[in-house]
Amino acid sequence: MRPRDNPFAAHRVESLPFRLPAGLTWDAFLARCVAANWRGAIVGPQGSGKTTLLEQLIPHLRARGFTPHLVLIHAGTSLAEKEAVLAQVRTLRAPDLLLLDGAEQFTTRQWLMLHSAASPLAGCLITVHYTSRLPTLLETQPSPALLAELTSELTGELLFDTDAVALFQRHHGNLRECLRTLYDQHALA
Amino acid sequence: MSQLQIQLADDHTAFAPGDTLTGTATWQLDAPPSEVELHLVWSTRGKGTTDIEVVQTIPFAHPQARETRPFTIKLPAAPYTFSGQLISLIWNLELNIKPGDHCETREITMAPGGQEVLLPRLQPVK
Repeated sequence: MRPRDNPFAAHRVESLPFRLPAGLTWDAFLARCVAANWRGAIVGPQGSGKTTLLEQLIPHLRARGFTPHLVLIHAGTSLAEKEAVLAQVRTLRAPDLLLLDGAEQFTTRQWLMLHSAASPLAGCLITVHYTSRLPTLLETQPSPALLAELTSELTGELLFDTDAVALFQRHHGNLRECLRTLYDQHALA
Repeated sequence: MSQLQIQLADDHTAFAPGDTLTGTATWQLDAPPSEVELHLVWSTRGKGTTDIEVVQTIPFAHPQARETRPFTIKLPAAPYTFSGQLISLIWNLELNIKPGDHCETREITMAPGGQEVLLPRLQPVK
């Protein structure tokens, strides 16, 4: 199978809409953000959709008159790159709104400086692996059932419950890695 | 309501590197847009991060609400349209209209002979 035709190709996975937890609508989630003055954390383990949620928030924020700035920080982000982020944030003002993915990669000292620099902004929404830095707005909840649902949407076929559970456990709940494994299986088919 | 269309001369979608591509871009909108641009873009599909590069941009000046404009693009020498083990590389023409998110895409193949290059699958080391 050509990579472009693989149902688990990155561009297909990235286009999946984020699944909000049961009972929570976008309007309700945005109301939480308003109540928190657009400052809060999306909390969840690696590969659980936090970045996807931040990306899919962007049009909602633009529709409300904000100017979102998405910053992606990961374990490989250098000190110089983090300092550049801090310098950039210091130039921003409302209606700019910071979307910071991977806030736990900043040391406490770096975070305090960033938090202070973000105070003139209209908001600061971050992702972290554990409750920290800012009050929790939402916790992502990966599960074998969610993996099966995403797989079904990508392939039009059902993933057996036992397969979903085994894959989910093998990757310790990291849905992104589960979907990459399914990519490899389809590539070899 | 909006309608966008990219029409290629003789409906050709397969080209060799360096070929000249001609066609028309058509848009039918309720009001004149502020900006209409045609982009020649390559991007990757497959595992991992998607790479993308806008190779050429053709702006259509002073666009009206309903128009058809001709365009001519000289294709570059590389990269070829290909599929390997990890990624495919594809070429697209994208007609983007602002304000709003109006976008129309037309895929083309750009490789020697107008045929996608298919790289052989690597055999695992025994």
